[in-house]
Amino acid sequence: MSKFSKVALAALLGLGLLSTTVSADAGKGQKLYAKKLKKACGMNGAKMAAKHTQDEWESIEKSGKLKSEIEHICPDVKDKALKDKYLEHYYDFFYNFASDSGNVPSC
Amino acid sequence: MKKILLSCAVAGTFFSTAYADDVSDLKAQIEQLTKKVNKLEKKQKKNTKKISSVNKLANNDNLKFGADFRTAYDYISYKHANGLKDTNDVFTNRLWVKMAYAPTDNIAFYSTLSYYKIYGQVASPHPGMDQMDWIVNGTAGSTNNLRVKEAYFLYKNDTFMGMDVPWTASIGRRPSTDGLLVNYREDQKAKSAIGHNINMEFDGASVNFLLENVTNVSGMSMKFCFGRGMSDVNSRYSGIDRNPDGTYSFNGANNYGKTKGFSNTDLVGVLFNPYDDGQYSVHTVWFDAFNLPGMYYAGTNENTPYYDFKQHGDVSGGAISIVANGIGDEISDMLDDTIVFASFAYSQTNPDNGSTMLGSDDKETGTSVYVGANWPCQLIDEARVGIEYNHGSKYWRSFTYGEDTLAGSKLAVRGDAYEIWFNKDLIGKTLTAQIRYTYMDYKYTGSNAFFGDGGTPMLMKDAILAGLNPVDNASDLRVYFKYRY
Repeated sequence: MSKFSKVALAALLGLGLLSTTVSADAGKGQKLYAKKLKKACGMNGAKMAAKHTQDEWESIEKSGKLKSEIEHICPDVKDKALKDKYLEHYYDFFYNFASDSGNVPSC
Repeated sequence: MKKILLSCAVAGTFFSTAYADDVSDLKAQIEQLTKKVNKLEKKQKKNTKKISSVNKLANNDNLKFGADFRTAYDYISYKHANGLKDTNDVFTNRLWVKMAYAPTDNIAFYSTLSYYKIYGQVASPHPGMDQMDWIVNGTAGSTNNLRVKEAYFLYKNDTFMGMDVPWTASIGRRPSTDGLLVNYREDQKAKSAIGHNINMEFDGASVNFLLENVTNVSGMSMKFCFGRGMSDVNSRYSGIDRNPDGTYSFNGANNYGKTKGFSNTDLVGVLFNPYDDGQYSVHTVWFDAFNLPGMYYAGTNENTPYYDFKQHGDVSGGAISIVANGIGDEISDMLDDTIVFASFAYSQTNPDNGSTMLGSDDKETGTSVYVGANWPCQLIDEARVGIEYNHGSKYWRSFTYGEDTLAGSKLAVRGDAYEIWFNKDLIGKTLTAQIRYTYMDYKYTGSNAFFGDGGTPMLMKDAILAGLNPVDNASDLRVYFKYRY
């Protein structure tokens, strides 16, 4: 390995260990939806997300009503699928693929 | 009487004063509200103007764009059968420009343009097989061309011929690289194929039926695929040959006519997923590929062998893969987010009468096992660790030429391959980094070849006795930074 490459590699490894900012990951929400909600809701994630516009999902989330909204759409959902730690990720996913998001769900 | 009148006068004054106060309060409130309404009306006019100008900008823009840009460093090492070592540092840039749009609920368009290049000018460019359509976007090249990696439309409907069977149909350049299982090491969502045995680009079509509603089996689906890996078609003006002395002559070939000595290389396949509940899933694939090309020994010129590019048979194959996306049910956060997979695949050659494939005129079967696990790193936040192992037998032949491992496809190995990787989210999924180490121990030669003599499996000691010096083992240490949004 050349000297230049060793320096570059060390720099890259050092950068890789920097502390990071945590930010939203709609992909996590999509995975969680498939595992925890899809069966109870009887529809795929794209259809579920399209139930509301982005503004509507935002308003539901800000008013603390996301859990009750999911229960309303999916009456068969189990309580343990709606733990607080999951709600943030569900919201990220729903918001990203809301009916007016313009985002195209992957096939 | 005077007292009454006086009292009335005092009461009247009192009430009229109170009434006057109320009225004046109301007036003040009305004034305030009027000011607010005027302000809102002005803002409304401004917003309407803004929306109109946004509409003008967006009008006729019928694509949503995304970018995936990665810069990577690979330290590659080859150790040959005679003990000679060959190492190198390779810096590359890769850019994917993603486009998508769904004008209606039933139809969507997806496309990815790709540029994947070694840094700077390549000292001794060797254009040819590195431009092969199967691999040109999946592996680093020497040109800075922007190519089409994927381009297809997808039609979807919730019912099929009146049945409660959602289905999709799609035609174009397929999303056939970075499929299920290999997507974890690439930190991507899985594309269409099972990555264990198919990871290369081709053009074609697919039809997918979601059978869950009619079978009551969670996640059951069946997809039929067709792909063309090579077209028996002359390019334009291929009827004109340039002579060594700079003159031209005509060879009689027609524009877009058949190419003499070749047939279309086609693949048909079925992907059947018998079960998928979002946590545990089973995926299977079977395919048959026709008229596969390879290098066939054609003679020797001054002690150096030379080869012809020919087609001499077919290959069929399949795989069954099981994935656990989470272990148990809320045993721990770590196990909830741990992924474990195991996959078994086979390939079988079917040479034409009187011909050979992989050095044999018999039907030869090869097998491969691929296992792996990845989980949230317990020492560093927002990071995942993965370990993977695969083993391929003597006649194992994968279609993984597009796998993004510069030292060679690890899943094509006829021998053992080991890998460990560490993926880190730096700014969510927008900026990520990876360190990955892949070690490939070849037991037989020909792991990365096509389907002719070049793919003949020989033990290393036999290859040396035959005067060859194949790669005995190879490794690839990769570090990358990736931006995507």
